[in-house]
Amino acid sequence: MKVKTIYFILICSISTLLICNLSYAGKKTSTGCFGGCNKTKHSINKNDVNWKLLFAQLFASEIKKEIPTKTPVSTQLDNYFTYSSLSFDKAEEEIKFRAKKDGNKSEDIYRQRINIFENNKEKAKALKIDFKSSISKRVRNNPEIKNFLKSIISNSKSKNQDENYFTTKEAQDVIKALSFTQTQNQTNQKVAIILFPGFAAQSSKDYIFEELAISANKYYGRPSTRPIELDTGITVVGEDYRHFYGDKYYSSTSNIVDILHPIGQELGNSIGSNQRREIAFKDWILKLPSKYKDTKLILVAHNSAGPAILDMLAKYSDVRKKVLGVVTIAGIVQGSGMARLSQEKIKNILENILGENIYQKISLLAKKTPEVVDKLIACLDFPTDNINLNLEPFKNILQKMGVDTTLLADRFKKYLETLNTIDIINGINDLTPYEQIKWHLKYFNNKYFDHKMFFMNLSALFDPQTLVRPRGENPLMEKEPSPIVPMLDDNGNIDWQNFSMDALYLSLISIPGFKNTSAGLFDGNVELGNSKSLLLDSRPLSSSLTKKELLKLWSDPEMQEIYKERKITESMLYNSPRNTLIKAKNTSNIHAIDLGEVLASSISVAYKQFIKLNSKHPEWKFPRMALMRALMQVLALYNLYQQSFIEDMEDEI
Amino acid sequence: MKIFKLLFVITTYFIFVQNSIFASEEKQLSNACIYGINFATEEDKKSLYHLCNLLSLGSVDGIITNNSVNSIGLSDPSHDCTADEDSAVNGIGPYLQAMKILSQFDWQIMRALRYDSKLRPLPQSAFVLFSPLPVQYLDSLPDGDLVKNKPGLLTLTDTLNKLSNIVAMITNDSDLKNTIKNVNESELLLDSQKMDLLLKNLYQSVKDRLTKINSNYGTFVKEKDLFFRKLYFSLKTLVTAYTPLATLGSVYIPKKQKSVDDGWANLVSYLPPLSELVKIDKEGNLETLGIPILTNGNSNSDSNFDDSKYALKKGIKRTSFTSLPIVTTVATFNDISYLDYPDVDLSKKHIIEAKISKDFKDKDNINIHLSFGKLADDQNQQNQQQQQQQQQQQQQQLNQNDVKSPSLLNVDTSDYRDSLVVHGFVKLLIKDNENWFVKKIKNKINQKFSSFQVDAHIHKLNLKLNRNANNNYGQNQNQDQNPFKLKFELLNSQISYTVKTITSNPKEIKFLSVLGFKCNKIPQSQSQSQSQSQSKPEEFLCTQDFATFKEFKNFEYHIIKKWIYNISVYGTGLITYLVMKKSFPLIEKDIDRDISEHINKIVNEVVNLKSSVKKK
Repeated sequence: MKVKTIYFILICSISTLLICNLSYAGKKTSTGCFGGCNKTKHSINKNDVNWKLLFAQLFASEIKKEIPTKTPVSTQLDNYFTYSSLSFDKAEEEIKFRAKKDGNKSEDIYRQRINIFENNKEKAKALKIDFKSSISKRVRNNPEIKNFLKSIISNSKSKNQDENYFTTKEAQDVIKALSFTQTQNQTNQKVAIILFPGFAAQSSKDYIFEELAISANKYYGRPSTRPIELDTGITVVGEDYRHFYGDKYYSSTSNIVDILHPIGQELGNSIGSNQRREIAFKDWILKLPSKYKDTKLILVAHNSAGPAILDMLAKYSDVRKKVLGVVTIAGIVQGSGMARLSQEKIKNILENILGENIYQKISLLAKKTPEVVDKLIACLDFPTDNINLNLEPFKNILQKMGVDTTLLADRFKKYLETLNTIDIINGINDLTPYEQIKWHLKYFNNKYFDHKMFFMNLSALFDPQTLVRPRGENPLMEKEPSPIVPMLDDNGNIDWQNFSMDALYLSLISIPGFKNTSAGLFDGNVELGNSKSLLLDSRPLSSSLTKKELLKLWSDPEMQEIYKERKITESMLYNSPRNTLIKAKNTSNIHAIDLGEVLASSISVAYKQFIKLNSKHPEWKFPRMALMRALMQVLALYNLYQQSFIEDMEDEI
Repeated sequence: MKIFKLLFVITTYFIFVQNSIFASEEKQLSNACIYGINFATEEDKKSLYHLCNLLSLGSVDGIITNNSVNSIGLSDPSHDCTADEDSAVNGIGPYLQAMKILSQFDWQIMRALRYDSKLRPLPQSAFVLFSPLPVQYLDSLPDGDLVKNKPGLLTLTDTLNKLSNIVAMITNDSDLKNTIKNVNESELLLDSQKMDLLLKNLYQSVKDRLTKINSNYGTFVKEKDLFFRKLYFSLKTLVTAYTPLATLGSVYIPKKQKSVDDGWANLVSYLPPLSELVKIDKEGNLETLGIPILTNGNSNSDSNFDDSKYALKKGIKRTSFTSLPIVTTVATFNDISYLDYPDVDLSKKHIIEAKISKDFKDKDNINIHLSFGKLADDQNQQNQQQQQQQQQQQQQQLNQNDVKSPSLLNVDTSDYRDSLVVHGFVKLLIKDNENWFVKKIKNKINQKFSSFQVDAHIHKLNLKLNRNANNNYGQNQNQDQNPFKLKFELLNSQISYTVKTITSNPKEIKFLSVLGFKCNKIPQSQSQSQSQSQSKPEEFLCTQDFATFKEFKNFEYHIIKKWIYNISVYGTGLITYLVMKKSFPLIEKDIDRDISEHINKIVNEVVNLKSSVKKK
């Protein structure tokens, strides 16, 4: 009896303690932020903000604001806007599950993809700004956030005019919220958003999301675009950015929130290895003019810039400490199947020329002594010194297309000279799913990210059909000419001005890309799942790595230590949700946020047109400014949220 | 450089010497492209460009859409490490893909015609004909407006044309001679006399081309150390064997966008008979290659043929389906053949006709028609021409708004031996939901008839490609089902069946004769008869033919006739008649249900065969 009584008393005591603690905790979180909220910090609650829904609501609202009053909004929304309440990993799983029931043919997958990502019922959930559905009450009740949300609603009622974004009330509200801080010494913080272009960016003098970057330049008294000092066709050299963003151009407006953009050579070799690129990125940031000394940075990485930025942050603490967070847009975060495909092709070519296993040998050697391999491989490259290029027929065609061909031979030679085989091989290798997943398992944790930082991933979903048949015809079903179908003009000549090289490139690469994508969720360069952070991803590694890659990852001596430390078995590595392979407590500094998807290609989401044939080239009609406006609002709201709700963030920055 | 010059001289010399040795009889044919379009005004000029734009838009749409939709996940490299073996994504066969491309092409064209005012003006009517035609006839055709006002686009085709004519001159290969001819449409398609002349010339040219193709069968197409010229002609033999003989595309587009419904479009193409690559043994006999994928693993390995000589053989030897058999309610088909009957006359001019027609009123349907037969003789051709004339007269009378599906050549499909044959055996499909009695009866019948083979002869196949109006790849929403389906049009199809069995049992022979089967003794070879005549009884092949459902009335007449002459046959004959009358429509119903899959299987086999030929 006595023993039973003791047990009973013990259980009662433990239960009472637990219940008390729970109710206390509940009280603590449900108290709200009235009055004393500014002083009290709370830890992140997953249900505080549904960032994906919030972004979708803001993006839809901004699209509506861009459309002239008489034009039906549904067309624009159908073309570019998507929302699914399923997370990307669950959506992929659902598509595969439903397609399997239908017979598991490619077209079943395609159909289910559309059913999930272009579902009107789902999209309707985000078509109206309803913060009750996307932000919890306790967050909404925070005074700063409350005011900001009010301003978003009031701004959403007016149509966007052709004015500079930074002069609008919407932008001023964003600037106010983004620069808000609660530190003892400061009333507001200076923030700079740096836009990092991805693949082949060193050859382009154009900006990504140029509408935003140009409006910032104008607002702060700088020329709309950076003057170009040298354009070899392969490498672009702009005016020294320290002058451009420094004191050369006087402005009475204090740049509390600024948009910066490295161009051309400043970005390193974007088709080369990450290692070389991240040094270029790091140097660019650290050598910014002194007026940005105390400015906090948000890095926006497009496409292949993502992995280089993440690696740079893991390696260089002096850059890391300046950074509030990273936003990837159509980013190659967990690698790309296209890189794997390219790697395979290069491997086949090299092995055909030099014999079996040569690729493996070169790769190994390249890691140990890259200089030697560079020299070795150089003999495979074109003998550019002696090459006598007969480009006349090619020139004639290009001239008809309106291309300036005066520098053609020279540029081609320079291109051949710039080709550095081993760097390209390394660059492709760095972007493979294997390398990126390995990187995440090794580096994406508190050890390397030693202060709180956000990682937002916005992805693009692309349907190659849109290349030939731009969707969303107006009610009369009229549409722009297809950018990849060569059309004849009224004189019987080919209408090159409406022919898009970007679209042609996408159509050529996307079919093999889609072949390699399991659920047809692809943006032309990277699969949807691979464009999200590993911490958000519950798919097992076996769903995106090959058997060979999994075995390699398991047997990698470098990784064995990590598995041992995290108690990961071989089966766990292959089959358990990948976000469980890093313990949550080891990633508490990293706030991974999924911003969802937009309907676009990896190029159209960021560029008006990457390869321009002439001055009247066709342009992608993606509402980039609406996307940027929505993103700016999300970043501003995140700042208010983290200032009030995330513990000790400011102490560590 | 001197060496190159010397080599050039030597090569040229040899080419001419070879030509003088091998030059065949002088040919008068030229590969012609005749197109007709009104081109009198500036507006007409634009209309041609808009038509080109319309066609290229539709074609690219079809190809890209099909590729993007039907390739997803096919090479997913991570598939090899998923535990679920069923998770592999399946592709669809070339036939279904072709249908998808066609459907998408049609959807885009129909959409653009109705709603895309940027593609206006369009020519009211136009046609293009690709076929071999006598040079003399081509020279007699007057040039149309297009040639007189030659736009830049034609410069390229002219250059290519000249180049190929130079090659034709060097190789003395008149088949390479090309002529591009523009005629005003009114001068040809709408002028019955000129049309007659064209059809007459076309008939003769196709006949000559088929004679030439027939003569190529059995000649070497691959041999070690082939000389350049031989190699060239070997390759040409292969190419010719698979190139359409004549193709006509014609379109009528009403001038006003609002009355698009009155328009129509047609494409008719004539193909040489299907053929396969065979090796030639030491005795000079043709031996079936035995394409590995078609022989259920019993194939000869490639190494056996490396040193052999190869030749093209007309027809396809009976071959098993690589994929699962075609299962219908009353029979299971698992083999396919073409021109493989022992008594088929291979010297005949076998030909395949493929027609695609589109009535713009019927915007969600495309009619497809296939005929397997031989080129009809002159007399029939005359009839054909008369029909053609009548059609043209009607066409003019009916304001050019009737759908025309013109046959340029008359194809005789009356002989079952010229058809594409799908072989199988009687096997009633036993369904799970049937009661035990039905199952037992069906089992008994299956046991009894297991030795009975069924050959389905496809003479003519009429299909309707039906697109779901609210459900296609061009629209984003509600993709709950396939955007199109293929329907089997029984009315204009012609399929005949032969049920046959081999028996040596006299009682069974008698019984089968009563059932209406014709039993003929199978001739034995001399060697067999010497060694086995005593041990093996004589075998009889008992066959009975059945026409398609629509021709059952004729069959009924024979049965009744039979009844009048032999009342004893009536009972059993009627039973057979009733069973078959019930059964074959069932087969056709089954074909209708799964026609896409069935044809896909057949086309898969043919494509596999062709790719093997190419490989060899």
